[in-house]
Amino acid sequence: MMKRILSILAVAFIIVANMAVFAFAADTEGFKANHPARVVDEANIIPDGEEKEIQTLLDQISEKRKMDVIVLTVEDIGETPPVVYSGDYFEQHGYGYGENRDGIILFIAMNSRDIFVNSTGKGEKIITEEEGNLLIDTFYDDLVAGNYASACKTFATETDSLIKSFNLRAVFLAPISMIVGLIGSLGKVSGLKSKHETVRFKPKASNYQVEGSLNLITKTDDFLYNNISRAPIVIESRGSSSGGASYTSSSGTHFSGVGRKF
Amino acid sequence: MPDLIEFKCPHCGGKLEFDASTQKMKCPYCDSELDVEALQKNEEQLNQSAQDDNMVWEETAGGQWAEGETDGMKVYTCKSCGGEIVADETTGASSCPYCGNPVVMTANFSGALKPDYVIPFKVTKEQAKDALKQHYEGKKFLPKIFKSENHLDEIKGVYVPFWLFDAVADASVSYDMETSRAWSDSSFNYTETSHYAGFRQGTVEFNNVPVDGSSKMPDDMMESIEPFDFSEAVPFKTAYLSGFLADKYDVDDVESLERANSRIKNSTVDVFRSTIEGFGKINVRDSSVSLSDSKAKYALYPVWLLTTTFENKQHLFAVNGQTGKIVGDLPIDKKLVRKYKWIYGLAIGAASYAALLILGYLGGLL
Repeated sequence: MMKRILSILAVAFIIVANMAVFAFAADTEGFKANHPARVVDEANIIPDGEEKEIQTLLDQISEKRKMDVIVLTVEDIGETPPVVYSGDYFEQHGYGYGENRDGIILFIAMNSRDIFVNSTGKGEKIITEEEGNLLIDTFYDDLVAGNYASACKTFATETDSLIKSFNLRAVFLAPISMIVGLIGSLGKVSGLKSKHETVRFKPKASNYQVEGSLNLITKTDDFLYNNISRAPIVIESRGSSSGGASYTSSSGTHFSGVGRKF
Repeated sequence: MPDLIEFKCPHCGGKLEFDASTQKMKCPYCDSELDVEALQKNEEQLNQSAQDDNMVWEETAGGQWAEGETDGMKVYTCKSCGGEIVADETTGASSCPYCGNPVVMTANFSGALKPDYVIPFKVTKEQAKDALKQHYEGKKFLPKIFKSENHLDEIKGVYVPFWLFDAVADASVSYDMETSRAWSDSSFNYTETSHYAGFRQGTVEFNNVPVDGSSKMPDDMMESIEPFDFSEAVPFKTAYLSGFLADKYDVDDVESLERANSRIKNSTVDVFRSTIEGFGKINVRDSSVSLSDSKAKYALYPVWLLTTTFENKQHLFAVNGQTGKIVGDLPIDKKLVRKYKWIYGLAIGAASYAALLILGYLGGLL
């Protein structure tokens, strides 16, 4: 009887756990109606035929991952920092998914040769300084070579995979907690079991040693030899420059990302 | 030409060579450098500690029964497990303290060795029963049936025969010790390990090391209810037996020697080792122990015994009749274990799930 109840409880727990994961992942608001185009090529560096292709790709990814992934190119941003320019553009044109307007932006400013990957909302959790730099590394050479279409496509596919791995993290919660539960319970049970055992041999006779009877005639500790070993320090070289930046708009939206010159 | 002793490198075992420039012994394989005098001294110490043990005993345990002293004492035998119990006629014995089955009187007690000492019972039957009840508390996997069916009242006071060994141990023990320190520069992490040879030679005295002389009484159980305090022992008189049972010894002192020797040797090596200070690692290389002033005594020590059968297995519990210490392995109900595994598993799993969720959100990982 007890066993039945327990197994039902266990199954219920597993179901609820998995549902909770999806509940947290889903957002209610989604994309705005009359959503602007996801490729804005003001600098005109992407060939027209390619632009449509990239647009479709970004639309698919954004719908699927519930994250507004866009490309924005401009000719000249003057003195404005890339993080500010792209952040304002994003906000003012109504981009973003859900309550927090989640988004990831590939921003290119031709005059100053700036490339900046910006992010907001949930996007900020995914594009950390480290991830951002690694992401730029994947299409940097294409940018330098002037293959902008190819660079945008790489950006799209790499960002898609970044979002996917990030989302997968929550899925691990349930199995991880089950394993923790298993290990924890085995440990606790074995601890309780050992309380049942009190019989063991006594290998020494310390209780029967006459106090103060220890009489050491010889007591020496002599140095024999030395031995020095060494291990080289491994310095892990990370990717190129950091170049992280963040910006809070006048309406309070927070953006952060990484960028560099190309 | 003086004796050429071949020295082996203590670090790698290679043959050491004398290096004229440093005036030290050097190992061509691992570059270790050693002082000749230190090596020689180490060798001597190792030889001394490698000698065979010499642990022999003078056999003086036990005495002779006086005329008429054993009148009225009977031997009771358990047909089921073979246990032999001695009791005086008035006390009598009806069930075996080891297996609970009936015992039958088989002979008048005679002939055997007379104990030198006895520690009379200090713990009463009621106190022993209370100790048992306390022992059961907090044992989550104890079968419910076991608790209720337990016949606590059947607990029996038994005098268990012990051989008590006194000796002065003379030992030579050699040790290896290490200390290390570490530092780094910009390219490497360095670790310097210094090796030392330790040597201790001296004596330490032991009194009344007990080894139980009954094959029916599990040795590990008797060692678990130690210690007994010999200062409360008195010269043996049959009057002490009245009201209690006694186990006839069937393991003689010669057979018990090995156990006593092993315990004494371990304690000696250990107490010598406790005089080594300031090292991170200490290992015993070799030890050589001899005994002198060695004596054996035959004594009866008080133990309350209760045997309970559960699922066709005997469970024996012992309470030290002098100190009240209780030992006994309690059975584990597998069904209860399973039940608790589930309960703990779900509870810990749910808690960790919640914790991971909260931490994940707080840490920006989710």
